[in-house]
Formats: sequence, structure tokens, C-alpha cells
Amino acid sequence: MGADNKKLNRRPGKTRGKLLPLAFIGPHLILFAVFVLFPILYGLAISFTKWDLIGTPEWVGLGNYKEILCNADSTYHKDFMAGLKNTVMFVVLNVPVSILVPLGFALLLHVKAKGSKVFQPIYYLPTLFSISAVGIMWMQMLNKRFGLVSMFGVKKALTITNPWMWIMLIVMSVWWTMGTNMVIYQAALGGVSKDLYESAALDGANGFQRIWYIALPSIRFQLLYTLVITVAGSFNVYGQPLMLTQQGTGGAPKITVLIMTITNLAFGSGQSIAGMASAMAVILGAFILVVSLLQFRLTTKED
Amino acid sequence: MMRKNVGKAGLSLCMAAMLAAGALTGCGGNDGAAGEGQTTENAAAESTADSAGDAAEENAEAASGEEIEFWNFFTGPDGDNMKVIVDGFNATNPAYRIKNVTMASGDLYTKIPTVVNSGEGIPDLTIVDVARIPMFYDQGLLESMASVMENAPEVKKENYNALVWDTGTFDGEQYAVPLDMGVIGVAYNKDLVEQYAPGVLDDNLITIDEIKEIIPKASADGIVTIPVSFFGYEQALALAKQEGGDLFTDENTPNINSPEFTKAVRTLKDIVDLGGCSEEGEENLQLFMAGEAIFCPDGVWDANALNAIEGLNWGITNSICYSTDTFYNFSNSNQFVMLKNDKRSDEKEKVIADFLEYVRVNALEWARSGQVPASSAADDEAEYVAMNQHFFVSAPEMEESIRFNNDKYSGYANDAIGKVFGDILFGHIELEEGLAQAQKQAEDNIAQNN
Repeated sequence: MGADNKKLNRRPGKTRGKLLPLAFIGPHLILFAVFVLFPILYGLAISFTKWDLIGTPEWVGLGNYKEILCNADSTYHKDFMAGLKNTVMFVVLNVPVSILVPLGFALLLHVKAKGSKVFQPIYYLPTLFSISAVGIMWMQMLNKRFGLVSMFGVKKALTITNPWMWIMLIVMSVWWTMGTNMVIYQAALGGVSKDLYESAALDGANGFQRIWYIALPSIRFQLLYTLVITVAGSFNVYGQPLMLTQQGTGGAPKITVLIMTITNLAFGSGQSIAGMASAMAVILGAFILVVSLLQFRLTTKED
Repeated sequence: MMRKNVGKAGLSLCMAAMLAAGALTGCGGNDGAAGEGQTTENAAAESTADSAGDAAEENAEAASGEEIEFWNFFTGPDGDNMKVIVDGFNATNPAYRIKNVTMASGDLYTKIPTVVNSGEGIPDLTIVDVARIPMFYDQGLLESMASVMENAPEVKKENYNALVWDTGTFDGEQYAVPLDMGVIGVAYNKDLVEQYAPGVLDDNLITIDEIKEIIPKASADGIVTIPVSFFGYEQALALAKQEGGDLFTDENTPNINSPEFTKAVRTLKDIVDLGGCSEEGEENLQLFMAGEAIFCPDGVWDANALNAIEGLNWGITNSICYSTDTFYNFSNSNQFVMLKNDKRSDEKEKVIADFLEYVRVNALEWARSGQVPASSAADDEAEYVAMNQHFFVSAPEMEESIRFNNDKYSGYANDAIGKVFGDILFGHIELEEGLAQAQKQAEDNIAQNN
């Protein structure tokens, strides 16, 4: 009887203990399920259909995937490959710069030089702008006839000629997005013990060595996190090439990335081709998953 | 420790993958404006703008039942003119007030399937572009305007431009009432015409031969004759039409690489090759505004922007032509439609009829936005006659020259041609190859719907 009473006394506490974590993650879990999980599953289901978003979807099994991946004569195959090529190119060019430039600025601000408090919000500010505003601003600035660059004698259309359009695209993208990564690095660097730097200095380490052997290893998880997020974000690039490399009214941008192809199929001027668009989105998602997995494996091998 | 890291990084991986897989559901068509950001912060910044539109929609929904919810995409200065019209109508104390819900056109077209499929939040009255109307009709989205026309007997073909009225007629029944015609003609700088092309506009027509004659004189002074990369597609359509060429041979068969359209694009490319066009990547409207181009293909809706330029003495005329025997002007058109909705009452339809009649009679206000009103009610008003765009309704031959790119699958053709048009003009892709590619794309897209 006494033992039974003990069990009875413990039960509410145990139950509470089990339910408490659920109570904390519950709201997020619900939002996650409604706004992330369900749309993904819904998109996956659509990818096996022919559907214009209005009528009744027609089940086509793996037909859309075969068309995109295997039918070399198909418009969808060509568009997918062209979009993927440009997207991968953007990732390759953008990711290193989007990691290194914010890291450099974070290290500079970490030194806490005079005026760093003023520069920090200035560096972060572009991140708050809409891509439409950023695109228009840069387009105007790079206009060879009326823009800022014309004052310096630039006679090239920098936003539509190779290799300048890629260079300008990366410069604009990094300018727009670097604030986020910079803040993450700043926070991480702030958490590194000063003792480590002082010990290293006593041992004769110079500034570069202190960054290389102390600062960077100390913030490796943040670097990994920003690497994965930046890669995924770069694969989803859309607004920057759309705004910057536009050829004119009604014309396609010079740099066509995969998300543009997907968007144009699903929400173009004609009837929606949502099934094909969803299949492309799923393939892109799988691609990013694999790349992220590889990144994770490579960067955590030492651990 | 390792397990903990694996857990955290695994979570990151999942989030990264979801970011991509959710791309389709995340990216509503914004018709070339905002786009996917690279970070959550940027995404949040983007969504702020969207939420303003959503809030407007929610307000409208909250009021539905007492108001006519009117969706439109007049987000520019033309929104002010529509507001004047809506406020004017509401001031007449109708049984239901018009709730003016304005959003970007991409958002509007993305929301339509959502509300139609859910059956909730369907607007009572919507503006859509003429190019989408045959598609929406075919998809069974449109309600007949018969009851509206019964309640407003003056809303009839005789009181509108006949050609634009007919774009909303299917099987003898009316499914759309046109608001305007966004005619795309050729704007011209009067001073430069006087200098480089005197007499060319005496017949209100610019022929290809005349353009070729002007080019050497103008380019010697660094002046652009006509930037055909700007609204050049509509010029090509007009040229092809003069030779009897259409983009579709029948409802389901695109005709993009037809001899007529091929010749039309080649003609434009010749102008580029002769040095009559601006260089690739130029801001052509800015060029015209700066007085550095004699002619500039443009839509009438830019009238107010051009009027605002001090010292720019401009006018607008017909699209370019091979000869003066025949000419065409391609046009957009904003049209009122009622999306199918069982919950729309007869009383509401009566008020919608009253509103459309009010819009018809007060066409002058809409003309002030720069557009050519579809209604002929203001055609003789002195203020409208003084506006440049009045040119397109100033004589029967002008009105009859207006055509609409409104086949059921026009959207596919427009997108496909838009993808290669600039590259063809500037020699990055062979003309025949580019048009064949556009033809194939349009065919493949149509096949997805059949």
C-alpha cells in the first residue's frame, strides 16, 4: 500500500516531466507542420501529377521526373539543366565570398576600433532592404549611360555582359546579405575567452596566428552553420539575377537560375504547369540535401 | 559531444533541404519584382511587404457581405485614379460599398487558384488582363456578365470599342467588361523628328524604309533612331499581322516560327544591325526621356511619366509598318470579370452593374491615368482630346487597327518568345534557332494541358 502510494504520488510529476518539453516545442511544432512540413508533402504529391492548380490533378507517376531528367529533347530538361548550371555557378562563386567577407568584417569589428559601433549597423543595413529596392539601386548605379559608373568612364553594360554580370551579381548579393553572417560571427567571436588570445600572445603568436589557431577553431560550429545555410540559400537564388540582369521589358534575365524556371512554370503568364514545377523543386531540394550532407561529413570529420 | 553536434547539424541539414523543397510553395509569382532571399532575415523583410497586402485582404474579407470586394493590380499612380472612381461611386450611397483591394498582379494571379479551390474569399469583382481571359474562361473560372448587363443596359458593345468588347465574348455570351486599352504604339520626340525625319509622320505611319533612311543621319550624331528592343515584341506582332501572320493557327497550335513572324523579327534585327537601336542593356525609356532617341515603342500608360519630363516635346503614333497600306497596334486591356462564386447575391450583382456603369460614364478619370478607356463616353471631352493617347481613338482607322494578343495559350507564347527575343536581336542566338526554340517551348507547355 505504501509502495502504491509512492507510485501514485510520483505519476503526476512524471507525466508533467514528459509533457513539459512538448509544451515548449509544441507551438513551434504546430507552426512547422502547418507552414513547412505540409507544404513540402503537398509539393511532393503535386510533383507526381499534371495539374494547372485549377482543375483536377492527373496522376502521372514518375512522368515529370523522367521528362526533366531523361528526355534530352524536352524543353523542361533543357531549362532544368540550364537553370541548374547557372545556379551551381552562383553557389560556387557566392558561397566563399559570402563567408569570407562577413568574417573579415566581423574580425575587424571584433578589434573594437574607434567607430566600430557606427559601422556595425551600417554594414548590417542592406540586409533589411527588399531585393526589389536593392536590384533597382544597383541597376541604376551600373547604368553605363546614366549611372554612377558612367562618371568613371565605364562604357560596358556591366549587368548583361560576361564576366561582369557574374561579378556584379556576386558583389550585389554579398553587399545585400553579408549582415546576417557577420552578426553570427560577431556573436561567436565575442564568446571566445580572452585568456586564449593572451596565452597565445605570450607564446609569441602574431595576429594572423591568433585568428587562425584560436578564433576560427573556436567559432567552427557557427562557420559550419553559416556554410550550410549560405549554400542552401544560394541554391534558392532568385531575386538578385532577376532584378540585376534583366534585359528589358518582357525579356528574360541574362542569368536564368533554377528557381526562375520553377516559378515561371508554376506562376508564369500561361496556365500553370505545377506538376513539372514541383518535380523540379523536389529535385533541387534533394540536390541541396546531398550537398549539405557532404559538407557536414567533410567539416565534422575531425570530431 | 559528437552525438550532440550530429543532432544540431542534422537539424540544420533538414532545414536546409526544406528550404529548397519548399521553394515552390514559397515563391509566389511576383511578375519580375521581389524574389527569394538568401537568408531568413531577408525573407522576413520580403514578407513584410506581402503582409501589407494580406492585411488589406483580411480587412476586405472581414467586411465581405456588406461590401463588394474588388481586386485589382493598380499599384502605380493609376491606383490613385481608380481610388477616385471607387470613392466617387461609394459617395452615391450604394447598397454595398466597393472595397478597393489593390495588390501586385503576380499576387493577384497567384491568389485566384487558392481562393477558387477553397471556395472562400473569392472577390466579387476582379480586374484581369485580356491575355488571361480566354484561359480563365476555358478553366471555367468566369461568371457570365449577363445579369450585370441586364441591370445596366448601357453596359453594351455599342458604348465601347467593339474590338476590345469582343475579347470578352465567348459563344455569344459576355464574360468580361473592358476597362481600357493599353495600346502599344511608338512615342516620338517632336524636336528630333523635325531635325532628322521631317515629314515622316505626316501620315502618322513610320515605315521600315523610312527608319532605314533616318538611321545614318541620326547615328552620326549619336542619336538612337528607334530602340526596338523595348516593346519590340509588340512591334513584331504588328509587322507579322500586316502580312497575315498570327501567333496561333488555331487554339492549340502555336505559329511562332511562321514566315511572317520570322520576317518581322528579322526586320527588327536589321534595324539593330544598322545601328538604329540602342545598345544591349540600355534603359530605353530613360534614353527617350533624355532626348537621345527619336522614336521609342511604348505603351500609352507611360504618358504621365513622359509628361513629367521638363522640355520633352513628345507625341505617340502607330506601330511601325512595312508599307502605309495597312497597320496594326497591339494592346493590353484591363477587364472586369466576376469569378464564379455561389455566395455572390443578386443584390451584389446589381451594385456591380451600377459600378460598371459608373466607370463607363466616368471614363475621363481613367483616361487621366494615361490609358485609353474602353468606353467611348469620354471620347469627345476636350481634356481627353488633348491627351496624347487620344490619338488611338481619334479616327475609325486607328480604333480598327487595335489588336489583342489574347489566344488561349498566349501566355505560353509570350513567355517563350520573351526568353529569346533579346538574344535574337543582339545576335546571341540565330533567328531561326531562337524562334524554333520558342515554338517548341510553347508546344511542350500546351501539351501539358491536353
